[in-house]
Amino acid sequence: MICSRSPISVGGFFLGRGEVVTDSAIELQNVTVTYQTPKGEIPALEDIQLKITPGEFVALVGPSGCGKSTILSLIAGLFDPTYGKVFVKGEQPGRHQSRIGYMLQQDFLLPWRTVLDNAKLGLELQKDRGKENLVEDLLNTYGLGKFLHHHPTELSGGMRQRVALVRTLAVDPDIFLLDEPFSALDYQTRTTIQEEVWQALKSRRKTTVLVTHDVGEAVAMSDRVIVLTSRPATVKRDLTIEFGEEHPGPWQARKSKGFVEYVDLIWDELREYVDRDLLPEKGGT
Amino acid sequence: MSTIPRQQYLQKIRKEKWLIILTQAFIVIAFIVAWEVMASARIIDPFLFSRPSQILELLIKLAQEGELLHHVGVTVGETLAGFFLGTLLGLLAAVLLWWFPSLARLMDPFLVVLNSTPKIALGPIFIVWMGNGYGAILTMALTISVITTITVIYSGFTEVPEGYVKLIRVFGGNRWDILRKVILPASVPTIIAALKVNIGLTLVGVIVGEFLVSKSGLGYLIIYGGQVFQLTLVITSIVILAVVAAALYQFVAWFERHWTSNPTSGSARARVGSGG
Repeated sequence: MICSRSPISVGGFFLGRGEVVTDSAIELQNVTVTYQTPKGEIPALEDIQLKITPGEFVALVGPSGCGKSTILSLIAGLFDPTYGKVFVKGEQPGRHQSRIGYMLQQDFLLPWRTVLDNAKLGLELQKDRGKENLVEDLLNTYGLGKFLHHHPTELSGGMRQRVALVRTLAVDPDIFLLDEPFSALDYQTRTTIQEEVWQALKSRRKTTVLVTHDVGEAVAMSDRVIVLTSRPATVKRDLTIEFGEEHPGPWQARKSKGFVEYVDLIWDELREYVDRDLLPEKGGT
Repeated sequence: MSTIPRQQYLQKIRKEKWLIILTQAFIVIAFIVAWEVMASARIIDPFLFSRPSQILELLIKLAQEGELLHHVGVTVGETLAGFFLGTLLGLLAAVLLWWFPSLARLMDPFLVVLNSTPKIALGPIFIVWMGNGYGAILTMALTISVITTITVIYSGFTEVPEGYVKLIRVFGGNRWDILRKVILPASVPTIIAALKVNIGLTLVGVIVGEFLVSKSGLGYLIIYGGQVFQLTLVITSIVILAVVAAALYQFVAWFERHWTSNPTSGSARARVGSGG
């Protein structure tokens, strides 16, 4: 049902290291997650079907607390679904952890390490020596060359998120999971970092899943936006975003024809939850 | 233009600092003089309260006989041994509790009870078990300090934001990586806070141990002086003890400065910021 509709989807089959042959980078089959608590079961995800092709940039939007981040944790192999299956490049995640890059709302730079040492953390953990020059090059690319030996507390929020980006790019994962990495930044910085991250990921043909509250951001950056319902989350709408032949990048996309319509369309899908959350009693303003 | 007010400001700060130091010195000197005068005027009984001149005399005598160095040496030695051992054991136990969360849950009520029990009450038992010697003193000191060390450091471990742990896991790091690269360096301020409490508690344990064992050390001098009604010896020992306690605290404070002022040496600068 959801197939490779993105402009730069890879046509052929991807041969996973395992026995499964699939053309999707990420696949969720009938995934249900329930959290067990002493007070009872809390359903988080219900029967989620999702296929993401290599190189595709997919955004997940939905009401607060609906379980968007849970989907990312499943893909990262941090835990297993209650029912259903998750495949990353045809294999169950977990053994693939090292091939996944994760960027969070907070940069989680280690405050006792310098910028350079923070950016090397991923390589260090994967015992991947010899790519250390690459880290310096990347930091230079993102204008952090002068701050290699500074500590994170001396940097602005945008610069810190750039270090986090370099830290993830350095290990060269095939799949990027972005959990609201721009939401803590001010508007100007956010716009710049969105553009930088998008360029970095698209030029490297990375598969990306972005979780965001910002509908505009989702439309501007993605090839596809998936609207989830409130908890337990199900897929409510799967919307392909197209701005002509090739995606012009988030900055241009915001100015493109159709941008506002896409945003409106998604807002309409989300409106019922927003109204319920914000105006519980009376309804309407 | 602006440099003159700045200099005035700095001068004012310096002046205030000196004023405080002078006042503090004045309080100490006034106390000693008042004590001496009141003792010679028989307003207070020097047999019960001693007097500064006698204390000084005794100090010099003890120093000349080599007794001072001996007893201070014994107490400081025991305290440092207990301090390092207690810190090491406490840290190790905290790591174990962190590594095995079910162990932490299992031990929780026992730690709470042990933490609130006055460990001094166990002193007589230790003397029977360990014999009347350094073993009992060290055990006393360890018992007093180690439980607090464990609980302080372990709670520090659990307060490290979950995001750092997630980060290491996503990069393929194992539990050992999480401990080494995040938990321990992030807990440096907590560990230092534990050290500061620990040095004081260890000294309490050592003095109580010396009270009970009564062979040597400042605790022995105090208890001996009390038994033979030589209050000058008691007060002299307490004065020395105060100096020793201050010196030991300064030792930890020096260690803290040394550890945290050098950002390149592994686990320095360990305030975990809230990020973005």
